[in-house]
Amino acid sequence: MFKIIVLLNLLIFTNIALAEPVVIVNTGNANAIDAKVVKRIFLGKEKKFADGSETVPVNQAASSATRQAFDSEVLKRSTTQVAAYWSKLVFTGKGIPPKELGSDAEVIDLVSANPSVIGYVDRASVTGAVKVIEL
Amino acid sequence: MKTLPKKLLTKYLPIPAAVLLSFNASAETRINGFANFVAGSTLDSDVTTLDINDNVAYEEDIVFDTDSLFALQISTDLSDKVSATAQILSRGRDDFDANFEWAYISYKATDNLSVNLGRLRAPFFRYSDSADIGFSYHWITAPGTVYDVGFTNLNGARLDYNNYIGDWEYSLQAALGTYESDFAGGELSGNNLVVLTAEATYEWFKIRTVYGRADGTFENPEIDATLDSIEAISPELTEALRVEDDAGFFLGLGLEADFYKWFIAAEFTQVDQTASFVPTDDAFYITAGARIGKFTPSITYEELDGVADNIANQEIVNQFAGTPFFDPLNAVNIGLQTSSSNKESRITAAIRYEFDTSIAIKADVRRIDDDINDNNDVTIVRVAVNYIF
Repeated sequence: MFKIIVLLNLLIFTNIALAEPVVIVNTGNANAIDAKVVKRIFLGKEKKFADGSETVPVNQAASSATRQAFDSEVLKRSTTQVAAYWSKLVFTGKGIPPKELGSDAEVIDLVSANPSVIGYVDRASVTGAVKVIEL
Repeated sequence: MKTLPKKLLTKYLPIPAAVLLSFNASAETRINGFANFVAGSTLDSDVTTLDINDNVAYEEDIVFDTDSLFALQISTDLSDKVSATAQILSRGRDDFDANFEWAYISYKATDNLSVNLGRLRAPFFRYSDSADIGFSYHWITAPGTVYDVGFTNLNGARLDYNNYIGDWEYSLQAALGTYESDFAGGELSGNNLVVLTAEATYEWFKIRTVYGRADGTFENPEIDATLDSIEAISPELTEALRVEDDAGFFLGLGLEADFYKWFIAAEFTQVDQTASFVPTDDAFYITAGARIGKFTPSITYEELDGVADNIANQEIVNQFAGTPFFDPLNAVNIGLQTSSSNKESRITAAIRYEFDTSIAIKADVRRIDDDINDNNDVTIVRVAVNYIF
C-alpha cells in the first residue's frame, strides 16, 4: 500500500514538475504579446496580432500536462471549463476551438513554419527554431 | 469537436451534396453534437409536475424523457466570411422527434461584427445560446422559473457585435423577427419581435441587460371558445383579455461574479403581455457554487411571481352590474386571470462531476413550493450525463 502511495505521489508530482508551459511564436513574429493578449487569442476573442496579421492558435491534447498547466495558469480556467466555454461558442457559430496537436515537436514544427501560428510547449522542449514569449 | 476531412464527407454523402460541397474549394464542414441523458422522479407519491406544454414532467415513477435530448450540428464554410449552420435536435419531451432547432447563415462582416439570418435562438438569457447544452453549465437544466418562457427561437436576423475597451469586454446584440411556438395547450406566435442586449465583462465580473418587445398572439381552443362566448356581450372585455396582436415586453438583468474557485450569479426577468388575461411574470434566480477539483457543488434559489396585485378589467365588468350578464362576465374575467397565475419558489442543490473534457455527470435535488396551491409542493431528484463531441 505504502509503495502504491509513493508511486502515485511520484506520478502526480512529476506531472506537475514536468509541465512548465511557455508560449512560442515564429521567429519572424515581432509583435508585443503579453499574458492578456495570449488569453484573448486562445479564447478566440482576438483574431489578429498588433500588426494586423492573422492569429492561428494551436492547442495540445486535453490529456497533456502542458495543456492543463497552460489552461490553469494562462487562461485561468480548468481544461474542462475551457471545453465548456468552447462548447458554447461552437454551437452558436461564434467560434471554433484551436486545433489540437499531439506533441511539443508538432507545435514547434508548425510555429516555425508559419508566422501566424502561436502555441505553447513545455519549456524543456523549446528549440532555436521558435521564439519564446515570456509572460 | 471533430472536423471531418472533406474527402471523407464526399465519399459518404449522396452525389448532389458532394457536388455542392466540392463547388467551393474553401468549404470545410464541421459536425458537432451534444446529448443530455436525464432521469428523475418525484419523492412525493401523489404529486406530478408539468412542463411548459402542460405535459407531465416528473412523477413518482422514474422519467427519462422530460429533459433528455440529442442534437447534431452541421456547419459549412461557404467562403471566408460566410458559413451555414443547421442544428437538428431531438427532445425526449417531444417523443424524440427530430426538428431543425436552428438553421441559419452567418456573415462575418468584420472580426467584431457578424450578421446571422434564419432560424436562431432569441438572446433573452445569459445561457439562451447554450440552454440545451447541459455540458455548458453547472445545473442539470437552467432555472425554469426564468428560462421556461413561451418561445426561445425566432425567424429573422441577429447582429452580434463584440469588442473591448481596456480591460472591459463588451458585446451588443440586436435581433429582429417573428416567432411561433407550441405553448400551454395552444400556439403562441408573434411578429415585430425586437430583442436588444448589452453585456460587459471585467475579469471576474459580468453584467447583462436585455430589452425585448413583440406583438404577440396566443391561440388556445378552450380559451378562445370562452372568449367567443362573451364577445357579443362585451367586445371591450374580450379585447382586454384576448392575446391577439398585443404588445408584449421583456426585461432582463444578469449579474455574475466568478472567482474561479467559487462563483455567484443571478438573473432577473419580467415578462409583460399587455391587454391580455396573463398577469405580468417577475422571476429571478440566484446561484452560487464552488469548483473543487473535478466537482462543482452548487445551490440555486428561484422565485416566480405571476400573480396580479388586483384583478384587471373590473371597471369594464362593473358596467354590467345589475344585469344578468354581470355574473358570467365576472366569472370569465376572474377565471382566466387566476387560472394563468403562478407563484412559486424553488431551491436546488446540485453537483457536477467532470468525467472528462467531453462528459459531465450530475445529480440534483429540487424542492418546489407552490404558493398558490400547497398540494403541488414537491421534491424532485435527478441524475444526468451530459456529452459533447
